[in-house]
Amino acid sequence: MQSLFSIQDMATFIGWSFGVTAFLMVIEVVLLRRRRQQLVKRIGRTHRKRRNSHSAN
Amino acid sequence: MPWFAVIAVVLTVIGLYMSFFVAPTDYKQGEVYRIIFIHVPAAWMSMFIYILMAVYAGLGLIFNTRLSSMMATALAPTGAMFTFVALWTGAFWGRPTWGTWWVWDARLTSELILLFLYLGFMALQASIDDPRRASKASALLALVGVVNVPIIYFSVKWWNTLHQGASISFEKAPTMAATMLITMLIMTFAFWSYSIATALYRVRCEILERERNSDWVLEMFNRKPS
Amino acid sequence: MSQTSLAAALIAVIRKDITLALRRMTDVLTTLFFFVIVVSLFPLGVGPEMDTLREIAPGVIWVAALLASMLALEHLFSGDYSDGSLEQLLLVPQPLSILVMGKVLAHWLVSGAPLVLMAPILGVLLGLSVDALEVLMVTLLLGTPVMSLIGAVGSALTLGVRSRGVLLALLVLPLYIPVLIFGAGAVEASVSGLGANAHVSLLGALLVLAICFAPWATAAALKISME
Repeated sequence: MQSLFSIQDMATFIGWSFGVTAFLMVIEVVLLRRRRQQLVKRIGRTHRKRRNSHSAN
Repeated sequence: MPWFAVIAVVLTVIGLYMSFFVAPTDYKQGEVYRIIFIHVPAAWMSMFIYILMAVYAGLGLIFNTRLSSMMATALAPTGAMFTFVALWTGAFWGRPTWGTWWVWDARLTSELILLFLYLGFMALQASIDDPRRASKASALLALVGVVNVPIIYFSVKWWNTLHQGASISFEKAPTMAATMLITMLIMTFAFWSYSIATALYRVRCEILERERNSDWVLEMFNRKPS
Repeated sequence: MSQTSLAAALIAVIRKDITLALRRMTDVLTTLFFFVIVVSLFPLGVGPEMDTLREIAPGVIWVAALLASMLALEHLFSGDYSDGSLEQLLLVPQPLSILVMGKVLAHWLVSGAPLVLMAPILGVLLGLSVDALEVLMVTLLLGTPVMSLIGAVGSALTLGVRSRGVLLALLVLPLYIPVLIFGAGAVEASVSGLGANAHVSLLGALLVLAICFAPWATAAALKISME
């Protein structure tokens, strides 16, 4: 079995395994940070609206 | 204080270094076996996180504590990710080593079913609008799942041994040199720290989302000039 | 206020469910026809060679039974859910898990038992021998109640949820896998001469486990869904 696969192919297998794993782990963090940023933005907006409506009274 | 994130990064770097430069070339499987330094820790994580998720979910269900339910919700996506990674890397290890991308052996098949259990948990939570009912329902599902996992594993193992014939199993890992074992442990702890870091981050997002109209959030935002 | 005994309440629940189901015969028959159609698709997809069909028959019939069982779950609680009688059931003094057992029994009689009776005919269509058909019926007889019981938990958890059918499939089918393995495996074992006793006993064990735990989990799920 080993003779059928060159070193280059081995690298492909290793690359795809480690690579996709790294990609997924990074993307999970990135998506989480985006979620937090959007959340913070959303809350900031509602609080600003509330503060403005209070000061308008 | 992103302690776990820092630990995760440090351990991952060490682990990866060891995976490639310290662990010796395997006599039978060559260089490709290094994939197990991802595959095995990921598989361990997938199972460990599921159990942890079920425990938190159970606590949330029995004691009605919201934080426990939220921890369960926070752990699920990370657990599902590791399950997928275990399956994916398993295929890439299997192809050069045994000639096939997939084999319906007990471990891989059970891992696949575990992925379905994770997805079911997340799907159920996503489809119920009321957050309390959603977390309770998925908690019950997780508990039913965790009780069923040994039954499923046993039955798949049984099924596999009956149909063995000329089929192969992805279970013959290279005999472990000490360095290999240590590397695997380091990668396991790396994944573990990563999981804790992401789960805690996710929980904090969840808490912020649910409490967005409360006073302490308001104060927090007032202190930051927006 | 008269004190209804547990047995009387149980019988009342079973009788009511069966009566309602018999009135809505379409639900019963559609499950059965789905079973037949799914099994019939396989020869069309795989080819008419009897040898191939005979080999895949146990698995095909069992998977079709799984899917039909799962489809039937949709109307286990939804009728009561929409007309308010489910709320009443939760308020009744008798233990909910026993009443749930009654509902599941009625549901199985109407949706699962017909599958058991139809299976031998389908088995003949796929070339199974008489001995294999016997084992098929026995395993389905043990397995379909397990599927109704486990499925009831899923059905209770997903009450009133949108796109319920697909979600129910995702939740319940992984849990059905041991039943499938032992059920189809039993028929294959008997065909190959190895004897199906172990498989059948394991199926029996699953049935006992399901009877002990599933109604209780279903009752908990109903309470969660109805609050």
